[in-house]
Amino acid sequence: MGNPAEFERIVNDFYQDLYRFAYSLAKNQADATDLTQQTFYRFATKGDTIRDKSKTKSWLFRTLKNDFLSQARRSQKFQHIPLEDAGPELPDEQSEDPSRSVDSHLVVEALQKVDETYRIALSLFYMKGLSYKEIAHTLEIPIGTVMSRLSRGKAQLKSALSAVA
Amino acid sequence: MTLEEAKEILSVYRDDLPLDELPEVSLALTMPETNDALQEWFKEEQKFDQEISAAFSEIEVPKDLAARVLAEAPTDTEDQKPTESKIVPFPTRRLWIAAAAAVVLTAAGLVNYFAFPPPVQFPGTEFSSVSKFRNDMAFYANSRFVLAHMTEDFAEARDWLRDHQAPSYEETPGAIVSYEGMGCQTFPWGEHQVSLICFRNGNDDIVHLFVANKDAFKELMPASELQALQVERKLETGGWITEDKVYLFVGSDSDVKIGSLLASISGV
Repeated sequence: MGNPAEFERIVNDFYQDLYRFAYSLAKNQADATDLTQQTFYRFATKGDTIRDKSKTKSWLFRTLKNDFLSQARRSQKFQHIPLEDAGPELPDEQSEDPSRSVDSHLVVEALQKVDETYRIALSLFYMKGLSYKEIAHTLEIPIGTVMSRLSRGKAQLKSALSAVA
Repeated sequence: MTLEEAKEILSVYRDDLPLDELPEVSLALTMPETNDALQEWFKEEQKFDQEISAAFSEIEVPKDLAARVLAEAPTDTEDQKPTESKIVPFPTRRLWIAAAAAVVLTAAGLVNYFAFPPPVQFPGTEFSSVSKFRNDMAFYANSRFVLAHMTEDFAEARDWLRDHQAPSYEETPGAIVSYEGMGCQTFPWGEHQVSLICFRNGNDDIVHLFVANKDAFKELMPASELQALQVERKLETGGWITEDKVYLFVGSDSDVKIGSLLASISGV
């Protein structure tokens, strides 16, 4: 890393959100810790290639997401369902409201039942520090597509919360 | 826009959406104004989002994570930049991290040993012999040590030594003033404090100048004897005595000659 002080500032600014994102994907502390450390290691060695420094946050989240997908598929621990195979599940007025008494463990548990593509978008969405534009940059898709994935993912999350509650 | 289309948009609405780029969002936002049921549904959606966000922020982050990340960060990207294939799966990485930590600790120990050598000890409480001072300072010059204060300015070195209650000179002695200073150090010699000033002579050789207070010696050898060049521990040595100090030049290896330097000292 060219500038240790700048590296330290970026670590302090983002390590918590990155860890929570990693935890929501990997669902266990050890893998979430490794993913976070690996992401910063990559940043330390390759961060100088980021031309637009305002996109550093998106770069970090995207790197973590890509590493997670790469590792998860390699270990075949997670089932991948292509987006085109998943049908739309829009929220409807009669669905039970599962939002009562949600805690982080319950949410993470329920998220595992959401299709991977939607789960990643949802995790980024519920991370308070990321704007819509940053989510779009992270996923490298238009904002409209982000909204579409979120809508479908949210419907699945509600359904999953009802099941695990 | 149908009710279902509006719900799909409203279910994921957040106020950082760029409305100018997404006119359908602006349109969807107008629909709850005329539909009470939709408005109530929209509020529930927003509340749900807030609660899930709050649950996310409750995910506990390991307290030492930032410190671990910083400790693992490579310090030299050019030497340590990994290629894609070198980044191993994270379950396996822990073994590498443990192995790397062991290597780093060993390297750190070696670096520490050479960068911060243990101080040279001169046991005993009484040093009455200038000849012993000569021999001990040659021993010190041959040992590994680090200068506590680096400076090329002899006046700055003098001030630093004074601040540390160490013996020093009033004026830079003789020809030294025309040479390039390196830094200074002070260390105990028995019950007394000795100063060391290092500099490079005209041949770019390192020369040591040791300074001790005269009261460190019970019996002084004749000034002429101290002025006479003498090899101690393969290093040429020679010094002089003033009203309250004893000075001693010591070369840094056997080839370093201090005769002309000593001759430049007034009164020697």
